[in-house]
Amino acid sequence: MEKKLSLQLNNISMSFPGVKALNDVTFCANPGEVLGLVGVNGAGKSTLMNILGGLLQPDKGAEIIINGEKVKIKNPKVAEELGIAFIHQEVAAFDTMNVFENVLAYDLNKWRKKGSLFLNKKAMREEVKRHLEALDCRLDVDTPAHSLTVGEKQMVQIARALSQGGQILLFDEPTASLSDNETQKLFEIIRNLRSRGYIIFYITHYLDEVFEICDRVIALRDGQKTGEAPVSEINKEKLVDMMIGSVVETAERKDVRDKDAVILRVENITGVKFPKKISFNLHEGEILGVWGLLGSGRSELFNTLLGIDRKIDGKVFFGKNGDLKEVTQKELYTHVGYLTEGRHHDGLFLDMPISKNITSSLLSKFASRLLGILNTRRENEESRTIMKQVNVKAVDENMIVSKLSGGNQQKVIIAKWFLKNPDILFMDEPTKGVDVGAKNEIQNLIFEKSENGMSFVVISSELEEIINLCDRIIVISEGKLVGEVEREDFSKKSLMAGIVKQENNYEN
Amino acid sequence: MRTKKFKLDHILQYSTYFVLALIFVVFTIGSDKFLTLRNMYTTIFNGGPLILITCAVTFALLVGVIDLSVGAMGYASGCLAGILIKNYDTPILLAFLAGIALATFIGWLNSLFIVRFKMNALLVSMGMMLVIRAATKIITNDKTISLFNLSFLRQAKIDALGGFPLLLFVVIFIVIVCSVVLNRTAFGRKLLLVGSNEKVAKDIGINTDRIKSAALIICGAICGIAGCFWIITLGSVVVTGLISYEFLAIAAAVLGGTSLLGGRGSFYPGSFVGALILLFIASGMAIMGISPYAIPFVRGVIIFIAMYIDSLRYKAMMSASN
Repeated sequence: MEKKLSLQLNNISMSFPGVKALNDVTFCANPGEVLGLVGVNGAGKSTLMNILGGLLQPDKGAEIIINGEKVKIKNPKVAEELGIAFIHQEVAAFDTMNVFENVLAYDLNKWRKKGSLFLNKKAMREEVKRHLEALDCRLDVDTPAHSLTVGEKQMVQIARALSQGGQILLFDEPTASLSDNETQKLFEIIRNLRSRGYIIFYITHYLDEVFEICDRVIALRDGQKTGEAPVSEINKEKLVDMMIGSVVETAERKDVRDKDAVILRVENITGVKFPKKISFNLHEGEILGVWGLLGSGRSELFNTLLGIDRKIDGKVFFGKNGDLKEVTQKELYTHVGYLTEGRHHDGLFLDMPISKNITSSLLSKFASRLLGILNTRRENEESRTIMKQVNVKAVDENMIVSKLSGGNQQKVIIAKWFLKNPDILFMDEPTKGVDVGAKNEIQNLIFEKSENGMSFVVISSELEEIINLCDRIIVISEGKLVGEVEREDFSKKSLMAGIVKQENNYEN
Repeated sequence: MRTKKFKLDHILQYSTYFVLALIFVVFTIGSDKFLTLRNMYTTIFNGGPLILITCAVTFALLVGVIDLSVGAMGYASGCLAGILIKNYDTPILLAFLAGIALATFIGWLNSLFIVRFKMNALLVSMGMMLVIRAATKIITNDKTISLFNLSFLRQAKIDALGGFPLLLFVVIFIVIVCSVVLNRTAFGRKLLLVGSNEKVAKDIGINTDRIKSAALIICGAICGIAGCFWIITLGSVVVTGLISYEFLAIAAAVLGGTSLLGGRGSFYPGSFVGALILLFIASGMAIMGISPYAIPFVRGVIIFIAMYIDSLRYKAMMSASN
């Protein structure tokens, strides 16, 4: 199936009140090519994609040419007709329906039996089977969507895009919620699509992926195209340079652990499914990494420790200056902070101002003792101070958080916990979906806080991040503790080896 | 461009006031009896139960619970107080306290089902409404209870406030207290946090179940006060009392900018002005001699308009800058 596609974008500008989100961006995309699109949060990637998807209209003078024809993408419907399809970042599915219904949900009318209101399920199944087979995906079309893994849901999305007649596929951070294994599977599919002549846009924060999957890369910064090159001709430093100009350096990690003072001891903690009999110690001022693949029971470990999931067995001891006492899940929760995964829905009060988000975790600090009357002026003052500390970029502390960029939203969450200043901060993917600049800033903040005696337990799917950040890493696989590595022994190999030992089906 | 947007935001923000002002303008032109101190007074006075029940339901709405039993809780409270006064010669204050206690207890029952047992709020409160209505009907034998000895309360004035009517004072006082609780206290902030995103609220250590239960119990208590208020203004307990007030109250709260999904709302101006809008539509139309059947129609239209404005407001607030 050879396609003769072409896409040319000329002089795309996009102005919002007060900001120029895109400034005169020009480039072309070729069939059979994976075009990487990189840039920090707010660089204009999403705006560009939304223009292609018909959600936003560019300023006058912009030209979009598809197959030699000048087009105007007035709305998402037009985009769909032109064969432009999104594979979204947040993987969504209709959980109560099964695979084939999900794939064809966009246009059920088409699948009605002739002259009746009933759906032709047989034809639907066959259509979906055809698309899934083309993707080399062995998913049963009758599987209910709620039992699919994130990776499988993504397959469903891709199948949907193809069955809609998509020819220009926009992948927006597709691997953000995938395990390494699933990521490799996705890459195979993308390569497959590339060989079939699709135009593929690939937006990502993971620079390694650019080099792995993309043929050509375009970098955006502050709405301008700051670089364009075949991937084979550049290296990572050059790419980062294109994206941010100057890099915020991560500070060198000083070992500030108080090795005599264990602040948290966990013994044989066991949950309903995961974790299974995990034991470890956490020292004061330590940054402890929890490494494992997606689905290895990392988040479940946190949830079981903190009483969000039920604990079946095990003991937890907590205490300062080495004075450990056994604590219940609830008691532990009052001493710690928990930064959950997935910032949009699980971390913020989106319709509220920054200051109210920041102070939410520590209202008692601002409330009078007797009637709980809040001192709003002090709330605002302290919010401003801490916003400056973690470098939240916003008009003021009263800005609604939904209007912030992803990186800044994440910083608001971190500001919230830093204000509460717990003894231990549990972080699940603290920099997921955050650009390189903000990522390094967040890392430096964690270092700074740990030097002041705060302890951290961090989950991250990014090897590089966990290696840079942590003093010690425990490796988890299928809910069990399978290894422990000290900072001086860190290497990608030692961590991967920890998992591979356990998972025979892991291929790489 | 910037200033234009700024202005639009402002207009949207104060839309509730604009609607109220519009109603005043229309009815003042329509009848010279509308904008009189006397009409203002009687409207708010007779509307006391609605204003209070709107405040009550706002507590539930703030934490994301649509409580359909508010009218019935008020009715139960008034009914119990009335029976105690009439049949058992209970001191009036004690009877009122008993009524309020009953409504508070029903609020607690609601919280037990909705928060503790995680049952669907809409159906629980609707069931509660049916149960209360039927039970009171059985107990009162469907008869009206006349209460002549409450009239002194209707006339009562507070000398310390220059002869300000007692009942009017009670309404305004409760609105102010609710407003202060919501805007100035940690508890009020927690109501908003729980309503805005329950999961996040739980993650940061707020006992969300307790906050929600408290909201529902307070809701019951204020309904109880509204019920006492109602029998004072009416001077009797009638079986049709406070019927369909749950819908009026929810509509009034939403008119005032309270979100049905929780996390957004206010007592003043919000619910108070929202209730005033509905009350003044009725009184204005009555003064102009328009058929009483048309009142719900006009109220309905106003609700549609207000909801549309509200959706514009929400969009303007949430629209991301890039």
